[in-house]
Amino acid sequence: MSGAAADTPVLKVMGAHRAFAARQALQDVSLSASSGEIIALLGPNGAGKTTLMRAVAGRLKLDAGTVSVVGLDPYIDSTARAKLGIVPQTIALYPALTARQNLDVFARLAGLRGAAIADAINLALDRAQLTERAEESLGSLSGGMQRRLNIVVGTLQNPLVLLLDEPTVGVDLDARQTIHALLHDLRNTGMSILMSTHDFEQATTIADRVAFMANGRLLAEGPVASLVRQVFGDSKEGVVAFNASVGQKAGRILSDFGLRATSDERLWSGPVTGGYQALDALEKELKEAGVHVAEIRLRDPGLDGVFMHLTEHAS
Amino acid sequence: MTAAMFRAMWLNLLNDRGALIMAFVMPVLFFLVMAEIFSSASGSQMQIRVAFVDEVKDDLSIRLLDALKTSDSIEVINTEGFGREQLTDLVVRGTADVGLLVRAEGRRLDDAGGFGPSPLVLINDPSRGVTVQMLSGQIQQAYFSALPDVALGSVANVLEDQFIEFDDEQRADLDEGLSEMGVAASEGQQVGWSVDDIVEPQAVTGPPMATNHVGYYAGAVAFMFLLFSSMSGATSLTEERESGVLDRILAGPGGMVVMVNGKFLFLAAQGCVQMLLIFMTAWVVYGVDLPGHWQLWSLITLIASMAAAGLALLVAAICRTPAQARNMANITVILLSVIGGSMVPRFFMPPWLRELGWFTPNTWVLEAYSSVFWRNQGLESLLLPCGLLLSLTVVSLLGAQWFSAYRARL
Repeated sequence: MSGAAADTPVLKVMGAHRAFAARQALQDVSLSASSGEIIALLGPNGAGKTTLMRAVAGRLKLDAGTVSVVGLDPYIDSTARAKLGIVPQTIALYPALTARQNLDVFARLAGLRGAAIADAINLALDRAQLTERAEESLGSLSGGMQRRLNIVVGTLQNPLVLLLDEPTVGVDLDARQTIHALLHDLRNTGMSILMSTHDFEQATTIADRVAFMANGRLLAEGPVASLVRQVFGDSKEGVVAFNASVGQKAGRILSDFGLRATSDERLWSGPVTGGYQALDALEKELKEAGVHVAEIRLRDPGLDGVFMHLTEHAS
Repeated sequence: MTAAMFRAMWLNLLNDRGALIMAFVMPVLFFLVMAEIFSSASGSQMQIRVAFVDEVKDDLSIRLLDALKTSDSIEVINTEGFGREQLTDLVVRGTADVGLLVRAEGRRLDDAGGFGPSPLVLINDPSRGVTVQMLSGQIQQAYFSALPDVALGSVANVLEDQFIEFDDEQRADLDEGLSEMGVAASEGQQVGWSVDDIVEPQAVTGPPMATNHVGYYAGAVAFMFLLFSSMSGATSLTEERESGVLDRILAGPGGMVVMVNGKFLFLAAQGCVQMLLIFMTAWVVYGVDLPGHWQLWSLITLIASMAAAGLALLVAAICRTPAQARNMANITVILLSVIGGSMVPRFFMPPWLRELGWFTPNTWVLEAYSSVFWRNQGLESLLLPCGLLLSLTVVSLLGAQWFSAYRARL
């Protein structure tokens, strides 16, 4: 369990700036995490998620701003780094070693000694549900099992903050659910989990808070329901699909209605007040303009809608 | 934590049978092959394949060829019924290293100082030119030992032509003596002489030359494989950077220094085991005196292993990707081994290449082993080679740490 008080952030990022040549990878990013919560970092490639994770891991010096883990800077203080568990996106394990041997090696590298090593290994195997497969080499484990082992290796020294990069890439639905359960278990021990992901559904399912990033900026952060409410209020999300990109006239009608094109120009969405009646009116107007609608519907708004709204306003 | 990195490397090697074989079995097998080749090439076992065709078939040519055919240094190729064209063909096809033709149009063998075509023709392939020198030596040997009457008679003829005229009595005595000598030589009696009678080879020190060469090759092959396996192990630096293992380790309390030092210690230990296996094989199979030199051998081996480990880590740390590291490692090892004398002894090389060898660790390692096993020298002879190798170790290891840290920050 974390030694930090529940309401005191174990991780704090304040006004983080970092540039690579002319490109601003982080621009005034501030974020905090308390013990026992999962924060999902959402954003497209190049948004700054990895840069932020590297800065938190102490692998990157900020141009301005601070990162602190229990009050210490992980870039200069190994005590702070010892409070962090790292779970890279790739399976960062030794393929020729068994599950137990991998855990043993990384436990020692994490600074554990004596009986603490065996205890940590057994706990990790139990958490990953791999006790029965402990003596098998990494290559003989399924993709999901390797992912779980990859995660629990990051928890061997019982860190206060676990940094996870895309924890469910390339796994099937069952394996994904098992990993979600594992992350919930870890959170329940008091661990704070900062997880980068592209997957809005995953963030909605397991994150206590989400943080949207784009172009190095933190666009918004908070609980999923709160963010959805901020953008959509009591509205539903309207979704209109076309078979081809729409022309200027139809685009104007959709924009006036409050909808915005997604990255796929054939799909428009946005908050809709007035329910199905409003949607019927929109469909009629588009028909009169000679535009064929492939699909039109209302749904409960989600994080993808929030993200579209935020990125549009950011640009 | 350095021990933890050592353990990771050890478990990786232990769980990978292919890598185990490459690290500990292949070097010994390779050494056995190289030692067999070079110990025979430099010792008394070396044989050249010679095809003989005698177009004269008189008493002298038969005696000469019979003498040559009994030499341990000559493997006789069957030429039953062959003429000079078939003889040439045997050499062209490589069935024989050299062909010896006693030609019909040549002078007699006892007319050494006369005029006209020489009696013997050595048909050879210039790519195996050394075989001509070797066969010429054998012919000289046979000429004086098996045909002493002919050799002495030729000398007498030259004497008479140029310096002194024998009277009839002297001439008759000489002819009678030479004739008796010829008969005795034909019966296999030792009446002739050879260069061996006036030459006594004296080795500078130590065991027979063939064993010295094995000692040389033990060091040469061992250090080349040491470089190969160290480079292969050091490639894990870039692999771990790419796989994310490095991120985990750097997040821990040890950091990059622990990672590089752990690998260094493992590679150096692995190198010592490799060296031990090869030199033990050289001792058991070829009699290289390892027990008699174990203390200095241990010192050289430890320092050579550390130098190989440091250099390998430096090469890996400089490279950005595992593929780049593997390619760079192979090129580096082959270049150092060729120039440094691990593949071909340096005394076979042209002077400029021999000088270039002093810039490779291989040369200094071989110099150190040669001082001990070949020249029977003591600790003072190791100060320069071991000092240079230690310097290389320190510089390489510091360089590997710096480059690894630099790459990790990118």
